Parts: sequence; structure tokens; C-alpha cells
Amino acid sequence: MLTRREFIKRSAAITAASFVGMNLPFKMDRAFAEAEADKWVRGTCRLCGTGCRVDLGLKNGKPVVIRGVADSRTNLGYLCMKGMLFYKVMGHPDRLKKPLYRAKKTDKFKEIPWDQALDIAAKEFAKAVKANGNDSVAYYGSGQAQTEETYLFQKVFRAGLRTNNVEGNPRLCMASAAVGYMTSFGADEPIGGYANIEKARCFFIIGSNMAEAHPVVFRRVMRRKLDNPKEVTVINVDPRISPTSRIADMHVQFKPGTDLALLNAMAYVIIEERLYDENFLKDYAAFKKQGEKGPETVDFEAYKAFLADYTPEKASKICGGNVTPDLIRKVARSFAQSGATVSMWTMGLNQRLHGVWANNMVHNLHILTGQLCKPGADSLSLTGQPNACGGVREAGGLCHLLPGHRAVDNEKARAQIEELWGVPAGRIPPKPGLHTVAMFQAVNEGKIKAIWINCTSPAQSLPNMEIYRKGMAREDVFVMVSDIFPTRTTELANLILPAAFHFEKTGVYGCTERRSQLTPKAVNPPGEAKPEVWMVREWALKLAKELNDPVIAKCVEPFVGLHEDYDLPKAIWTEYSQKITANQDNDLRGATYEVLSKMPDGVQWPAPTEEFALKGGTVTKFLRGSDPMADKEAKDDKPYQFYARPDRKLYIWLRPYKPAAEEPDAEYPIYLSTGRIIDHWHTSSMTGRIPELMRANPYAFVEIHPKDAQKLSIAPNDMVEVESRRGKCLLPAKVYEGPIEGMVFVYWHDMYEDRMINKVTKDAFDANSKEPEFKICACRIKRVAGPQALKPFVVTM
Amino acid sequence: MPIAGLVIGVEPQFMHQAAQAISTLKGIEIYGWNEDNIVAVVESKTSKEIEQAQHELQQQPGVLSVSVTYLNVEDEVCP
Repeated sequence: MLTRREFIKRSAAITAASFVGMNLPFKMDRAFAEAEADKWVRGTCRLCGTGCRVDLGLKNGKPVVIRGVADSRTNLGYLCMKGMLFYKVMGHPDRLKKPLYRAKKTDKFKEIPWDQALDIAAKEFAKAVKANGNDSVAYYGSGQAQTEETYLFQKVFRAGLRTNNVEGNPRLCMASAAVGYMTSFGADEPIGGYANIEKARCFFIIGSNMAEAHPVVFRRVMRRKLDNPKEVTVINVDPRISPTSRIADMHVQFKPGTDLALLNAMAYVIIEERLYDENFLKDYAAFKKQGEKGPETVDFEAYKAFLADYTPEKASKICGGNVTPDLIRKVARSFAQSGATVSMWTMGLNQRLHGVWANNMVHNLHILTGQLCKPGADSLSLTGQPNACGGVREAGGLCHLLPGHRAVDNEKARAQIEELWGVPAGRIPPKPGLHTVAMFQAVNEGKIKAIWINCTSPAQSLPNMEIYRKGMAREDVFVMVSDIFPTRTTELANLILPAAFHFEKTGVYGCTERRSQLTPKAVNPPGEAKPEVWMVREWALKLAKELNDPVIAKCVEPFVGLHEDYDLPKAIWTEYSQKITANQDNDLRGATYEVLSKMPDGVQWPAPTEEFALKGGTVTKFLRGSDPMADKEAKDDKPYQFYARPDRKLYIWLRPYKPAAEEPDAEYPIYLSTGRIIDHWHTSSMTGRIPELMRANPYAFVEIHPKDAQKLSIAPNDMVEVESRRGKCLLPAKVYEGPIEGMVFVYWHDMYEDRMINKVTKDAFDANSKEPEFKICACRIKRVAGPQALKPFVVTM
Repeated sequence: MPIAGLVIGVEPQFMHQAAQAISTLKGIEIYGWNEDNIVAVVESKTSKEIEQAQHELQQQPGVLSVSVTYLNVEDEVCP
């Protein structure tokens, strides 16, 4: 007779074996299987942008077992340890459980009832509007907020409070990718998705340590390579050798920021050796350069002439590192000749002064070689957060965007949204609001008088953070934070609202590949924590009274009286998907809650009908036969219909190499770059509280190349000061051949005062995307002391 | 006593060496393998030890990735 423990072990083994097609010499006993959990709830992991699907098993209302969803097309059943341990956030003793308030930021917080908290919130926002105008208030949200939340927040702020000061932390990570897609393809978000990984013959991984930041996607790439070692080439392009480099056939290492020259040199080789797709260019491409008055059309010959400055010989001198003319040629040939190249990148390209250009340059290579819309070919920006795409980019979570991929400054789009919302014409202001850095600069200057920060911690995540912490600490700025745990930002708040965590509320996340997935509520939130959709609705009703403005109440009128567990988010999603996305490129009319509940892995838009959505939606955008809008909008019999622009073209941009905002000099001679480590996520407010993850990486450290360490007499684990013109940190040293010589790398999750590296980073930003250049600045380092005993740290109340 | 099911991706030429090394680790039982995957189950007193085991596995020769596919924490949550 099998014991229960034996049974659980067999369950674990069978589940694992099933993912790799392995047969084990035993089968599951059905009676035991049913006893594992009394309820299973299927949802999405929250701890990156991959969109992994997970079954959460409950017994007596508590999570007891977690397994990956094998028939999910995002993760194929696999999860990483970080995702596997997310259940520990639920019921954690540090969870915020009651509203907390203090009139002055120097006072201690006191617990107050919800009604009083919402009264205070409404009065403070109303006071700011009456005294200083509508643009003196702001919302700063998150790529972790569910789509229903972001949509409702922005509706109340834009049409209710009449301000476009609606922003979110995806500005710090994905804005350059969004503008890159817009300028190159005419429409945001990838053409393909993960399905191309299993068909690719070349992977071009640039500016991404996906082995740590997106481990489950990395596993798919790794499997493709291991299954086809000779047919598949992996190229890793990064100034730092990372765990991602382990599977690379070629690692291209260069001085930070010079990849712009490298990408142009690859284009040079592709043209010089006639590796481009002439027919694809003729049918689908136009060449553009930025003129003084706006984009100008040029021709292929002009592009060719422009690239003359980027011969492999010239570019290799700019790039340094291991970049030789031969390596550039080899990489360019692999990219172009595979016929099925998937490019993948994250913050290494996006968080740059010229992040949009870097994105354009990768797209250029795909357009040149015709490697789009074809099996195994895609230019795929990996998303950092679970709902940066679905919530913030698609549902109006940035200052220049209305929901459904509409521009704020487009009069027709504003009028359409006003009509759909049933609010008076002209209610939404025509001018885009303040982008993230500008918004917090306005806080510093006292121009923003009341701000609602939801589900994110700008006091730690903004570059050059110290000046912004001072701004948020001003007594004349009312700071309200809704979150699940105390953070560096709650330390600066007047009012803290306890929020429900994922799986404690119902809502939709839209991941990297245009895929929307529903996560229903599985467990009750702790104490008096509430879903944000409930908070916004109740606050808006009170605000309408304070400002004597019925239009504010009108924004939430369709949702009054609905229960927050399911009916309320469902009604919000229904309004958004059925009215707002109808006939837009992100048409989600088919992705109703009923359909999403049936799908193991959600729906990829466009998905205009339920019938189409039930088949999974659009795998490849712009491809006739795959994308219903490509069929509907077709103007000729060509297989690809790039309907996002009237000219039906993809744009190849002439973008030059330009240096970073701050290059090393005699005073600050070393490059600083920052990033993630596998066990932690963002500001570690969640992962820092999971002992297993904290134990694995209890604090941030600075990675130093052995040659730099030798020059500066730094030994492993010595305490090292990393200083820039803006601030300094004190971190233990990790000496190894990761970063290129002349560059140091620091993980940014650590909340400890001396180790928050954003005190050192620079807040220069891309002129097009307004995304800051976290990835490059100049610093100097020095050994301060030998190894010291350090303690992990998280903010508590 | 949490129990986790793992798929360990291994470079094929290191398979024998990796399997041997993994089989000596405490609390880890190998249930099967193919050319470049090992299916193993970790049984431990706490999920902290499972995380520790995952890190140990990651250090073994030829191990490219350690993916978790199943985690039962019933005893830890409902003692």
C-alpha cells in the first residue's frame, strides 16, 4: 500500500516527467489525486512578464500545492523557483491589513477605518484640484496592476479629474520597446510570440539576461538549442557575460552603449554581402530618417550610404571588447542566413538614452532580411512585468495613451472615448500628461499636490532616487500608496491603503506576446485588504461629492453595487473589451471572462469574436489567415498586410551611433550598469520576504572584472564604495569575469539604505520614449574595508 | 515536509557525471532521465531546503537549468 508521502512524491515525479515526454514505471491513483487539494484555481504567475500559467491547489482555503499548467503555450508547465514560491506572499505577517494614516509625514501612522481613509483621500485630491487646478493631481501605477485596475484608474483621472497625469512604472522598463514598435511597425507589441522559439534557427539575444530574468522562456530557447545543436545558433550580445551566455555559440562583448554601432555594422554586412530580402523590401519596407521637421522618406541607396560610417572595421574600433570585423561579419551572416531568426531583448536596449533607436535597429535587421511573419522569425521584446503590455500599454496607463492604443493628442480618439464613456465632449484634456521623470520632478517642485501611487515603489526604483525621495517627503504633497507590503515609498506616504494580492482578487494580465489571461480570486485577502477596483470606485463616488462634479461619479456609475470579488472586475473588463477595444488593433471582444475561463492560456489579440478567441486568437499579427484584421483590412493579395499604417509599410530607420548621456572620464572612469538576479524581483518587497529567496541572495553586490579588481586592490567580498556624481553605495565585491573590463554591475533589488543602487544611477531619459538610462552611467569605485558581516533588509512598519 | 518535482536540463555530454553527482545529494531522488533531462524529486523538512537543493543542483557539472513543475507544501501550511 502506497503511503500518502509516497503518493505525493510520485505525483511530483509524474508531473515533471510528463513535461519532457518521459514514461515512469507507475501511474497515478485517482483517489489520491483528488485528495491532493479540495479546489484548484488556475491563474498566471505575477513575478515577471512571461505569463506562466499555474494551478494553485487549496485545502480548507489555504494554498497547499502548486503545479505548472502543462497545456499552457507560455510555460508548457514549467515554473521557476521564484514563481513557485509566490504563495508565501499570501498570509505573510508583514502584509498591510488596515488603512494607515498620518497628517504629517513626520508623525506615526494610525490605523483608521476604510470609510475615513477614502474620505481623507477624496478631500485631499479635491483640495489640490480646487487650489491648484486639475494637473496638480496624479496617478502613478504599475505593470503589476490588473488591466481592470489600470483601466478604471485612468478613466477616473482623465474623464473625472480632467488630467492626463496618468503614468506607470512600465515607463521605466518598456517605453522604448513600445515606441520602437510604433516607429518601426506602426503598431505597438510584437508581431509573433513564443511559438516561434521552437521553429527558430538563430537566436539573437541582446541586452537581456533571460536565464535569470525570464528563466522559463530561456528554458524553451535552451531546449531548442540542445535538441538541434548544429542547426540552431545562439548569439548573445551583452557587455556582461551572464548565465544566459552559457548556451551561446557566440558572445559579443563590447563597451556599454556601442551596440548601436554594432547593429548598424550588421546591417552594413547584410547589404554588402547581399543577404537582404529584396522582394520583402520592395513590397513592405520604406526607409526613413529623422529630419528637422519630422520623419523624412529616403531610399535604399541613402540607407546604404548612411551605413558607410559603420563598416565592420570602423564599428569594431567603436565597440572594443572582443568585437572584431570578422566577428561582426559572422554574427550578421548567422542572423541573415538562418531564415528563421528570433531576436529577444529587455532592459539592455530599453533603458537607454537612445533606447528607441536601439529597438529600431533590431527591427531594421528583421525588415532587411524579411524575417517577420514567418515561422521561427520574430523581433520579440520580452516584457518585464506581468501586465505592462495588457494593462499599461493597452489600457491607457501612460500619460500619452488612451485605452485601446489611442493617442491622447488625437482629437478624434478623445472624442470617441468620451462618447463611449458617456461623458461630455471635451472632458479629456488634449495635452498629454507628465511622463514619469517629469511627474516626480513636478512633485519635487511642489506642482503636484496629491499623488496616488499604486503597487510600485518609485522611492526605490527611480534613477537618481535621492532627489525624488526628498520631493515625496515634502509636507505640502499628499502621497497616497496602495500596496500589499511596506516599501521605501510607504515610508513617505500620508495614507496607505492595504491591497489584495494576485489570487486574492480577480483580473486579467496581458503578457509579452499579446496574450490576455484571467486569474480568478482563490483566497481571501488578509485583514481588511481590498482590491484596487473597489478602492477607486468608492473614492470616485466621494470625490464627485467633494468637487460637486457628477461626471466623476459617471465614470464609475456602471460598476456601482457590484461585488468586488468577481462581478465588479468582470463589468470593468466587459466595458473595456467590448466597447473600447472594438475594431482597434488590440480587439479583445472575443476574450470575455467566460472564454478566458475556458482557455488554459488565455487569448492573443486581435480576437474580435468568441469563436476565434476560443482557438487562442492571433498567433502572428499582420499575416493573412492568422490575423483576422489582416484579412479584413487586406488591400491586395499579398500574404502580409501591415495595416497599422496607411502606406502599409514597415520602416527601416537611419539611426546613428551616439554615446550615452554620461560616459566615463578621468573623474568617474568606470561604467556602471544595473539589473536583476534570479531570486529577486524589482524592489524585493515580495521576494525579500520569502526566506528561501532571501537566503539565496541576501543582499546586492557589485560585480567587478578581475583586472579592475587587481588594479584597485579589491579582493572578493571586500566592501566597495560605488560613487557617481549623484550618490554612492557601499556593497560587497564579487570579482569575476562577468562585466567587461572597465564596467561594474550592481543588482538593484536591495532595500538597504547603503545598497540601493538607484542613488547612483542617472535620470537622463530617451527623448522619444522618456525612459531613463538606468543601464549606463559613469562611476568610480574604491575599496573601503575588508569583508563584513551583512544582514538582509526589508522595510517594515 | 514539502515535496517538489524538478526537471533538470543537462548538457548531454555531462549526463552521466551530472546524474552521479545529483544522486549523492541529500533529499534528492532521481526518478528518470533521457538524453538531456533528469526528472528528480526533492523531499525536505522546509521549502527553504528545497531552494537550497535547487541552488546545489545548479552548481553540478553540466547542469543548464533547474525547472520546478510541482510543489506540495501541505504539511508546511497545514501542520
